[in-house]
Formats: sequence, C-alpha cells, structure tokens
Amino acid sequence: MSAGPLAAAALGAPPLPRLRLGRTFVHPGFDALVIGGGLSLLAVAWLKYSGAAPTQAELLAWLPMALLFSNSAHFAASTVRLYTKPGAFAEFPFLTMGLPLATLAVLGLVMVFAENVGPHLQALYLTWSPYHYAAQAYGLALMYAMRSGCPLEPPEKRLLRLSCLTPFVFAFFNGRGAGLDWFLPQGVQDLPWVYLSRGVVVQVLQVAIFLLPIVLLVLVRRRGRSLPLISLLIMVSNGIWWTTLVYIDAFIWATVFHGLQYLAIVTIFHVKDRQRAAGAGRGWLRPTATFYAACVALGYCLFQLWPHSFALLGFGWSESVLLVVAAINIHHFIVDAYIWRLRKEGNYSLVT
Amino acid sequence: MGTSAYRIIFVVGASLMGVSFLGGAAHAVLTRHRLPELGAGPLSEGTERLEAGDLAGATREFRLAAAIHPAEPRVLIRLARTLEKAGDLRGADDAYARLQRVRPLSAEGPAGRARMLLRAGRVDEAAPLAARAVQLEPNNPEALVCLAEVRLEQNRHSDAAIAYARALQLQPGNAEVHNHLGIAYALQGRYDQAIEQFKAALAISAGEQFRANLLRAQQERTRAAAAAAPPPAGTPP
Repeated sequence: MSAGPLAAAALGAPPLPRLRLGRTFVHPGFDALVIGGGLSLLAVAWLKYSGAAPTQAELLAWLPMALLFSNSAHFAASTVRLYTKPGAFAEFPFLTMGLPLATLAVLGLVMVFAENVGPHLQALYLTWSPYHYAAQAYGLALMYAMRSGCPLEPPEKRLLRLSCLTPFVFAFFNGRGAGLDWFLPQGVQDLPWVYLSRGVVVQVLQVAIFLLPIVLLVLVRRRGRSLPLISLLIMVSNGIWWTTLVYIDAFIWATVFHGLQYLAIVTIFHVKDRQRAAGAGRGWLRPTATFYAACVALGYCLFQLWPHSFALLGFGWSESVLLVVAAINIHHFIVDAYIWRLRKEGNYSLVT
Repeated sequence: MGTSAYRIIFVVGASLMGVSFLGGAAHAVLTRHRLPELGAGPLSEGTERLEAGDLAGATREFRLAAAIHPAEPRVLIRLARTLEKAGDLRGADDAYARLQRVRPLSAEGPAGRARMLLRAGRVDEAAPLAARAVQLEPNNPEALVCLAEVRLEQNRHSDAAIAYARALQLQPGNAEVHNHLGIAYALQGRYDQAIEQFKAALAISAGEQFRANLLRAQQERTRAAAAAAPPPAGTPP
C-alpha cells in the first residue's frame, strides 16, 4: 500500500497544491485565450492540421484588417496608456514630453541618410523586438503568479526570466538581418566553425525554450507552491511564436496575437485606473471602448498617414514605410519599458 | 530640464506630429484620391511602378527597400525579378544570391542565379545551381524549367524533356514550356511528340515562334520519313 494523501496528512506534510489556471482578470477563457496566447496555439493547430482551414491567400486578404485592429492598435496603446496614466507627466517628463520630438528628429535624420543609417535602425528594431516579446512574457507570467498567490523567490524569478528570455536569445542567433547577423561581418559568419556553432546553439535553445518553463513549474511545485498554468501558457506561446511560426513563414500572425495580448492587458489596467478614479459603480464598457477607439485611430495615423508625410517631403515610399515602422516600434519598446514598472501605489495594486 | 522647457518641447513635438498626420492624409488624397488603404506596404509603390512599366522607378524603390531590410525575402525577390526584367544580370544575380542566403531551403535563389548565369552563357556554372534548386523543391515548376533549360544547353535533350514534362504536369497551360518541350523532343528526333507540344502551345497562345517550330517539325518529320522509307524497287543501290 502506497503512502497516499491520507498518510501524508496524518504525518503532517502539506499536500501538493493542485495545478490551476490562476487568478484571472476577466474570465478564465478570455485570459487563457487572449492574454495567455492560447488562441494563437489553437490557430496554429487549426491551420496546420485542419482540412477546413483557410488558404494562404484567404488569410492574407484578412491580414491588413487584423494588423490595423490588433498590431497597429497595440503600438498606439502604449502611447495612449502613457498619456492617460494618472501622474505620468510628472513621473516621466522626458518620456511624455521629450520623446515625441526626439523620435521625430532621429527619424528625420535617418530618412536623410536612409541607405547608410536606415539598415541599422531596422536591425535595431528587429533585434529589440524579440526582447520586447520576452519582457512582456516575463511581466505577464510574473504578474499572474503574484495575483494567483504564488509569489516567486529570487532564484525562481531568475529562472522565470531566463525561461522568458530564451526565445529572445534564440531569435538573436537564428534571425536573419538582425541579432548576430547585425553584429558579425558576413565573412566571419561564413567561417565553418562559426556556422556550425551557431546551428548547435540554435538547436539547444530550441529545446530549452520548451524545457525551462516545465523545469520552473516542477521546481515551484517541489517547494510546495503552484505556478499558475496561465504563466506557463504565456511562456510556451511566446516560444511557439519565435520557433514554429518563424519556420512556417507565418510570424506576421504572431505579431497579431502579441498585439491582442498587449491590448487586453493594457486595457484592463486602463479601465481599472478609470474605475478607481471614478469610484464605485463605474462601468467597464465605456472606458474600454473609448480607449480601444483611441488606439485604433492613433494606430491608423501612425502606420498609414505618417509614411505619406515623408513621401510628401520627397522621400521614397519604401524607405518612408520601413523607417517609420522601425521608429514606431522603437518608440513603443522605450515607452513600454517604463509604463509597466510596478510601484506600490500604481500598477502593483492593480496586479494584486 | 525645467517643466516649462519640457512643455515647449512637447507642444512642438505634438504639433509636428499633428501636422505630419494631416500632411500625410493630404498627400494620400491628392496623389491617390483617397485616404491611405490598409494593405499598402513598403513594396506597393514599386509594384505599381513595375505594373506601369517604369522599371527604373521600381528598381529604385526595391533597391532602397533591400538596402534597409536586407534580410526580407519578399523584397529580395521583387528586386531580383525587376533587375532580371531590366536586363541587369549581375544585379539580379547578386539579389538572388542574397535571397539564397536568407532562405537557404528555397529553390528561388539558386534557380534565379542559374537563370542569370545561363543568360550570360555560363552553362557549367548554372548547372549545379539548377540541380540544387530542383533538389530543394522537386515540385517547383520554375526550378524544373530552369534545370530543363540548362540540360537543353548541355545537349542532354532527354533529361531536358523529362524536366519540362514534369513542370507541365505541375503547372499545365504554360505555352512557353510546351514549346520548349517540343524543341527537346524535336532534337531527339521524336517529331510526333514535338508536333503535339507545338500544337498545344499554339492552342494556348498564338505565338509566331510556336507556329514556325511546328512547321519546321512537320518538315523534319516528312524528311525523316522519306529518308527512312525503303528505296523503290529497281533503284540501284
């Protein structure tokens, strides 16, 4: 007869906590699918294995709409959040008041020297992008752990960070035109031992991306706590985006899912701020709708109108679009690094 | 920096952004008679110029796009094809080589390079690239056609015919490929099959070359038949 839970209870050992999704913000289904990235995994499985899945051409026809309502809106969302966040102007004077002009100045300069400096702005954005995804995954996974009653110890936090950063390191080594490609001259990259080592590193990282989250889950359980499954889902989704979707040339759809994830969480924070400021009884629909409408409108202005202003000044269309997109991305990464800082009186209280 | 200085900077920055958006909208309305459409990406202008026959304008757009985003396969493909169309074999070869580096498992890079080398008359250099393209994507009609052209130049007519026939299986209705398959058959003396292919090409497109090839194949068939016929009785050996 094995020592079951009854025996453990008799001996006074606490039973291992059950696996659970975690304490969600909106609804378990919504949080798991949209914020956790579950929707992207279902979509990938559907596209790969379902006979009824739409064709590539049918999907591409929907892409511009998906990009406007998710991707473009999510870039705008960090700016809208920054300027609507209580106390942001006082807390971040350069970010709120100086960065717009600085961005314009840098973009203008890069436009003038597009052929020489443009590739570096592009490479910077492409190198930074997977880091931004990784940081978002880390922030969300940690946030769900905290609000689900599973605060992580410093070593566990380090493992969580490592786990979330692995897709970034993978993209750094595996990406074309960014990461290692940007830093290493072509001649060095072509050296047989460099080429081979790079391949080995990529293979190892590909395994680590999916292994580390499981190691973290087991480690936390062995210490008598239960990491919420949504934290695990967030890490795995990000890993799938940078591996599977990259390999099947569908990474553009990862940006749509990342955008949805971002929009959902930023809207939740915005609405909670609004509700807190207005007091009890304030509904969620109106602040959600106005916030999202502002994000879509600003997204349209940034991605559709802004490149035309450079074309009006005589710059070519391709460099206008490419460099404006790179500048918007980098601006978003910078703003994002500040607006999610957890402070006792701000985001922290909303998380917990 | 003081708060008032920040405020001034903010007003300037926000105003410039506002003016940029308005200017962008005005530019789109004036040049395209509508607000910007959602699908317009960095390659849209170059593609429009290409469709309008402005090869130089399209090349300039794609070249700059490829300089800024050197690892984007779609940009490299457009650039390479535009340069190929413009007759810049060296530039196209370079763009296809970059494509090959970015997408090492795609046939498009090696097939494009092989085509450029073939056009430059460097058949021996083109051959391994064309073979590699088919090895990477055995069901890619473009790669198969490229390999067939190389084999034709190498006088390996039977291999050329096999590759053309496979390309036609995968992409039926291509008059040029029917015509080339006809040539490959004719060069092997298989005139009936050649005539069949030239007729198929003519049924798809009324090309002068196809008609001339058909006539020539019919003449060759007659000549061959006459040569093969036994001499009439009583003719001295």
